[in-house]
Formats: sequence, C-alpha cells, structure tokens
Amino acid sequence: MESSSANPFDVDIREKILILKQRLPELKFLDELLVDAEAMLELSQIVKLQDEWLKTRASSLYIDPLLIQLKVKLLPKEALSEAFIRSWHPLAQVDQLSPRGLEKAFVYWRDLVPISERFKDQFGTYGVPPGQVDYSDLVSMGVFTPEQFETSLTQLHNELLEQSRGEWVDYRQFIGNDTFENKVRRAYLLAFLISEGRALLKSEPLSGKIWTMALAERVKGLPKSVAISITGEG
Amino acid sequence: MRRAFQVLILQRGRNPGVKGWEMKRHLGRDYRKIVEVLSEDVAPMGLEVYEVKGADGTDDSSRFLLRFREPPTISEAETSGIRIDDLAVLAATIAFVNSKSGRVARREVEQFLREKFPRWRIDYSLDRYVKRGYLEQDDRGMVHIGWRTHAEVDEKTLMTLILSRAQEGAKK
Repeated sequence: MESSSANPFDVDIREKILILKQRLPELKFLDELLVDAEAMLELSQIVKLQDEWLKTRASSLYIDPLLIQLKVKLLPKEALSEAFIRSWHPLAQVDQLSPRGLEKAFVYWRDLVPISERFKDQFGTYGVPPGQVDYSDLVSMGVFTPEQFETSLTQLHNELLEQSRGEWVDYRQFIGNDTFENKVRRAYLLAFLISEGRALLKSEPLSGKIWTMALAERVKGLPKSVAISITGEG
Repeated sequence: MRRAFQVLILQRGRNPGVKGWEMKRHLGRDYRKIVEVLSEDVAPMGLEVYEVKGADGTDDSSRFLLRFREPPTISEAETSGIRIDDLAVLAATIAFVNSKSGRVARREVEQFLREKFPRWRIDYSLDRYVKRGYLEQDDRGMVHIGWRTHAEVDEKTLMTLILSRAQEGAKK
C-alpha cells in the first residue's frame, strides 16, 4: 500500500485490528509479539495515508487523474511550460564563496584519488600482463604452506620413483588428466623436482613426446629450461 | 531590516531559505513582524518574503525565502537558460502527482510522461528535480511534491492553467 498509489481506503482497518485482537492471547513468544507489533505499525501507516488522501481530496488541488492525463496529453510542451512559468515565483538568492566552502573544496581536491586509481574498486584494472609466479608467491597467496609444499614434493617424488623404477615414463600421463587444477599443480611440483636434480626430463622434438624419470640420488648438472604447455583438455 | 534582508538573501548550506529557528536566532523573538515589514519593503523590487510550512507545522520548522512577487514573463524565463522541455516535464509531473493525492510510484510517473517525452529526458529531468527539491522520492520509490515546489509554484494556479489551456487547445 505504501509503495503504490492505490486507494488506502481499500484496506478494512477495523477488520484487520479485530483479527489482531483475536490472535493476541494466542501469542506467547517474543518473535510473534514483534510481528504483531509490526502489523499494528503498518496499519497505523495506512491510517496516516487515509488522512493524507482525504486532505488532498478535500483540497482544490484534487482533480481526477484521468482528466489530468487527458489534458496533459492534449497540451503541447510549450503550453505546459508556459503554464508553469505563469504560476512560478523563482527564488531570489545570492550564491557566494564562503571560507567553509573554500575549505571543503580544498579537502576534496587534497583527498581526490588520481584518475588511474579512482574506478579500480568498481571496474578493476585494465588487466594484468602475464608474469611469473614463484614458490614464495604461491606461499603468500595461500596456495601452499611451506610444510605442505615439502610434503607434496616428497609424495610426488616417491610416486615417480614407484612408477619409473629406473625407466622413462610419459610426462603427460604422469601429471594426469583428472582436473586442470590438479594437472597444473603436479606439473609445477614436478618442475621443482627436476630443478632440484631429483628427476630428469627429456623430450623428442619430432614426436613431441616428453619423458621423465625419478632419481634416487640428487644429481648436479647444468640446468636447462624447457617450456611445456599445459592445456585444460584431457 | 538590513540584517533580515542579508540573512534571507545569502544562501547557507545546500538549500535556499532560512528556517524559523535560525530567523529567531538572528533577528530575535519578534522576527515575524520584521519579516512582514521586510516583505513590504522589497515589494518595489518585485520581491516578497514567503513562508513554507515545515512537516510538523511549527514556527521553527518553517522555511522563509525571498522570491519573485509575480511570475516572470515568458521571455524573461526563456532568457534564464531554462529548457522548455524540462519545465514541461515538471509541470506535467506536479499536476499528475497532485491528481493522485500527492504521492505516486515513480514508475507510474514515468509511464505517464512517456506518452509525451522521450525516456532519456524523463529520467534526466526527474532525477534533476528530485535533487533540486522540486520533487521528493522516498525509499519506497514514491514521488511526492518537494518543498521547493511548495515554495516557488502556485500549484492551484498551475492546475487551473493546465485545465483551461487544454480546453483552449481542444477548441482550436
């Protein structure tokens, strides 16, 4: 009722109050009494609306809305604005710059965030260029704790040892194909094992096959970078 | 008298006009008598002091304003840079809201105006008039007549003019 322009007299206040009165003795819990009080408040708001409605109807400003709609439809815009001007008494006032206004302007300018930063909250940035994520970044992002990382590395090393037993195993088969996140995680850990000299990697450029093998003993040699793409496909 | 004029003409804060309690503070308890005399004094300049009653109807909540005693001529209004379309939107909205017992859902106002004005102008004008105090919009999306319309517009005259002009338009 309060969010529409419906007639507030459409609500039978007496009937609603009688219902509330009948129900009141049955209410035992605080929640129920609160809802009851809220209903009473809403009814009082409708009585207020009825009062306003009557006052407006009784005033000479009330004209049937349909009649007004029809009249406004008939009038050109110029005639409408002319009617407004002929009933208009513009205010006379002087706008001046006060010390308080100056202070407000200064504080506004001082606290104004640079335009490059201003809309980041609403729209984010224009995108972050590709970059490198290292072990410390992952720890700071909460992907790993140092303990979890070491444990995961050891587990993966043992798994590779178990599978390879001194033989080369297919790299892609080893990193698995269950979920993309898991595949990336295993590839990242395996890259660590290889960098530490606890596993080897070889690739066959012609067939595109990549092989890996776990080492029981850590070896030292000249590190070499190999780029391997990992996709979300199985 | 000079002090009363200065108090009324200088804008304080966001909204024009001076509240009753401020007038009392600046001019003393008999400020109403001073206001009456001032209103006569500014008449030769085409001005008057006008009182808009506050929500609770008390003297303290009333707002006192200096305004044109007579409406401006059409050419005067046009030279002030006001757009005809904007004024037409406001006139139609005031008439519609008054015909709906003083409160109407904004979507109903928009629907009503859409028969005559483009959608972008309706949104722009309604928002502007709410901001400037000519209309009020509550948190339930209901549009009411704002304090500034009560201060500046003779609503009875506006309604009469709209009705009579429409009859003239129909006769033509």
